[in-house]
Amino acid sequence: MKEPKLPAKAEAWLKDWPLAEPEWEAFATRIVERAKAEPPRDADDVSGAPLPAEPGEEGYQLKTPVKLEGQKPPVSLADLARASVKKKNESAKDIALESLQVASRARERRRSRRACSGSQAAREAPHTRSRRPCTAVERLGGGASRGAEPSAPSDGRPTPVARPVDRLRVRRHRCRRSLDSGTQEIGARTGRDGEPGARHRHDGGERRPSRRALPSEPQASPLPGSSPHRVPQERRLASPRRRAERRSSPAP
Amino acid sequence: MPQRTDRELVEAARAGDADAFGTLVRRHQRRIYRLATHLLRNATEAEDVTQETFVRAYGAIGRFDGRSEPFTWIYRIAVNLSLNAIRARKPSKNSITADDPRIEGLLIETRGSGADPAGASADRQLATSLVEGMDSLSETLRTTLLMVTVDGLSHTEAASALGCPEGTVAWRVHEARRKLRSFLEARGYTAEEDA
Repeated sequence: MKEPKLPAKAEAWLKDWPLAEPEWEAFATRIVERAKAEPPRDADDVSGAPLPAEPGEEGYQLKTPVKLEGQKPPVSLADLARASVKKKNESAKDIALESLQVASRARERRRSRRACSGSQAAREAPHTRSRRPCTAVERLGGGASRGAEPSAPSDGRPTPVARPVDRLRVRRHRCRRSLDSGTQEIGARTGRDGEPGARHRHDGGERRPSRRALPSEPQASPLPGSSPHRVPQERRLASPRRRAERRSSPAP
Repeated sequence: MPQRTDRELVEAARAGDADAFGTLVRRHQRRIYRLATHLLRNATEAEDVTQETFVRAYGAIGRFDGRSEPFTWIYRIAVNLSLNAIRARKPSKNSITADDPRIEGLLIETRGSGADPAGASADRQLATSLVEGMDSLSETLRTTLLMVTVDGLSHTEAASALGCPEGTVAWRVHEARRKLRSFLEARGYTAEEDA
């Protein structure tokens, strides 16, 4: 707020108004003597707020609160929060409400889109179901998972959506199963016809011990007759060239 | 020896140290007297009010709660006593007199600066207009303007002394200056920056 300026001389006088003054030391001595001589008197009648409010000052918004020295006003977090909410103007509230509405609309749209894709997947279910591995949630008897989408009812009802934790569990289970089935398949092919080119080929289609299994834990053999941990040394260390030579040479 | 704070002096005076109270009087008597002179427009009355202010403060020092600075508390007593004296006075005494200490003080200064007679006359007119303008303000606006502009109190100190918010003090000072400026403009005195 810019103060209205007065003429320069008037400003100077206001800042440093010269006044005839008494002799201060004698004046102070007189005051102290009088104060000591007089009996103590109550000052309550002259300690109140001295001035009445000026018309027009009520509408003036307070920018900084009064801070009395030596007195700490009681401040709590709740009061601060309430004060800050009060300070927010209406437009900020409107913006917040609108953004909340937009977010909820977007959520609804996503949900309905997911429901549509769920019913579509249910229509395509017959050929996908046979290949789809069983999920952990299904095995546990839980129906609401992403793995359950193809078998979801296609009567227009929204497909139940798995919770994030379930999805994670299902995904991890799927990965493990696909790894296991892949290993089994490779093992079986190797054991059957000795198909070259398989990276994880082992002797007799045996299964390499799982990394997760403890060393002392006996591994279940996927094929009957195969023994785990029994890979011949020369075969394991054979280079691709030697393997090729061995293949080209007739068997004894 | 480091200078004792007002609070320390009050504590000592409470304990019966009259010298500590004397130090407090010497520290603030000039400001209290100046404010009383401007409010009462009479030097003798201002001296009485200044004395009375410190005597009342000394009598009630045991009950000073320490919520505000001792200085603002004393200031508040001074304003209340001055306003009581004005209200108790006859209305005729509230007009400007020839021996108004405010105009006298300004004229002594202009005479001392060696201004020419025409300049001295112009100064006298301006001083009279300024004093009249200040007297035309309400008690509330005039007292707040005096405390902040003439006595040099900060808005916080004035707010504490008057028991109102700082924003109100700022508004009052602004309003008082605006009215004073209008008053002076009506008498042909304009601020140079506007010219």
